[in-house]
Amino acid sequence: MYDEARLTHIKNVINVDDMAEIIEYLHNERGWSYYNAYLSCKLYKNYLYLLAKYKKNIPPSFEIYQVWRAHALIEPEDYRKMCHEIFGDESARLSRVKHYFKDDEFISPIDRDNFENITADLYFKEFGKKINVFYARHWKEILLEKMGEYKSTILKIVSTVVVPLTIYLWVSSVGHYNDLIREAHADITKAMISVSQKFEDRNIICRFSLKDQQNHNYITMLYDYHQSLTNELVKLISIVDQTYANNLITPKLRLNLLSFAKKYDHILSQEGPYICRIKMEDPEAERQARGEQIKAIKESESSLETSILGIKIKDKHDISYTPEGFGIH
Amino acid sequence: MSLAISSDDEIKKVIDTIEVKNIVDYLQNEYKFSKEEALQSFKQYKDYLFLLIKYKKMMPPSFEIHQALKAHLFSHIDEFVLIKKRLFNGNSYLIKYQDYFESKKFIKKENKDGYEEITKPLFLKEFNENLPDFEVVYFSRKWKRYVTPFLQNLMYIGFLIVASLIIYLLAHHLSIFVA
Repeated sequence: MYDEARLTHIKNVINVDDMAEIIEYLHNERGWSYYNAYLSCKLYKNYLYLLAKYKKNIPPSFEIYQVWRAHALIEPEDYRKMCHEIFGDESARLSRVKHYFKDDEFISPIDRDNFENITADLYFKEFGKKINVFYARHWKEILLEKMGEYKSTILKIVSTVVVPLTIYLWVSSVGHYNDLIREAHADITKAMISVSQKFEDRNIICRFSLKDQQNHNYITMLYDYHQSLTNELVKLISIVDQTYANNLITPKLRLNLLSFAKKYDHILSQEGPYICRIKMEDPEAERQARGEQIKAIKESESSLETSILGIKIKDKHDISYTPEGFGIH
Repeated sequence: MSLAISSDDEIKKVIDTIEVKNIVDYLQNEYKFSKEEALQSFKQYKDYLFLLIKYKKMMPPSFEIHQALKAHLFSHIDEFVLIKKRLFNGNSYLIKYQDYFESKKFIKKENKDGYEEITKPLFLKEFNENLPDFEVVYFSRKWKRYVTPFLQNLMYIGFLIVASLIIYLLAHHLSIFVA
């Protein structure tokens, strides 16, 4: 052991070298970033200080080892000089660079243990921080190291609980998602059936004879059916929109919708003569007004028949209902 | 102050002062050479130093010579510096260390070419000794540093995709998908 003055001298000797050539070598030949090379040089200098102070052949970290060998190989004169100054009589023994690593793994398990138990402890004791290891480390190793002593427990928990739980939750979420798809599919199918049914009902009414169509009740009935069909359509469109918004449309469902749209294209995409999407503000008043309108037409026909021709005009007008009102053809 | 060494005999005399034990022991203990290999490498290393001084040419070493040079530097730095000073005074660039090899292959093609065109013929001419041939690496260590983690992560992502696909197919097979 040395006194404080000697240790300060050792520190000064070590720190006086800027190691620029070593940093350049590590960057150019080893592909290290300048920053990592610089940090490694700092670690190496601390390591040399430990060697000088404790005079033990303690194993270095991989980064330190790389800098150490580079120092001896690239700047042998400087390395020798530094060793003589800091190691003194022990220079021959302590300056010897042992072949510690193959790739980035310790060759000897004893060296690995000594590094973990002796070098790391001494480093922490002297410099108050952990000996950093950053080169050629896979993120998994870093993560495992961070877990520290709880590593095995955490791994057990992860492997026995978290992984199966994650799989279960994932499969459940898939199941839940499929339930939603199933429900949405059922709602849409129901709405489509309902629209089809209403449309068929309306078709039946449309096929009524002209005589029947002249009945006031027919107009009211037709209006009710149209209104009902419109409501069903609006309902269907609303469900489909919601299903799209919730991303629950499956390819199969999309095909069904397309096929439905194709079949009822004139309902969904065109304003057909019997379709009314506009809600009436006052249906009763409307009906009454239209009834009066029809009555007036009939009266005018009757008056024409009596006053001019003296004969009865039959089935002269075909009255139909459009969104704009009645059409007389 | 070193004296100028000019004759072959003088060069050999200085080279012969290199202690065999340090280098051979290091080659055996650290690089796991057999004793015969270590001794052979040591001899070739000395011959290589001789050629460097005599011809004053940069010449890439064989793998064994390269290891012996490293063993010299790592095991007995005092002696190496002394020899370098005596033999290469003014020509120290000739013995300047370079990373010639990786996994027993030349890192750079120009070094392989230099080795085949200069080192090998000179060894044959001077010592009637045939040095072995060496290949060139495909990816140098410098590039492996970037490529290896990338491939590892790629493999990991691939594993995740395959695992997810298996779980998906399993769920599908269990009739979870109805719609």
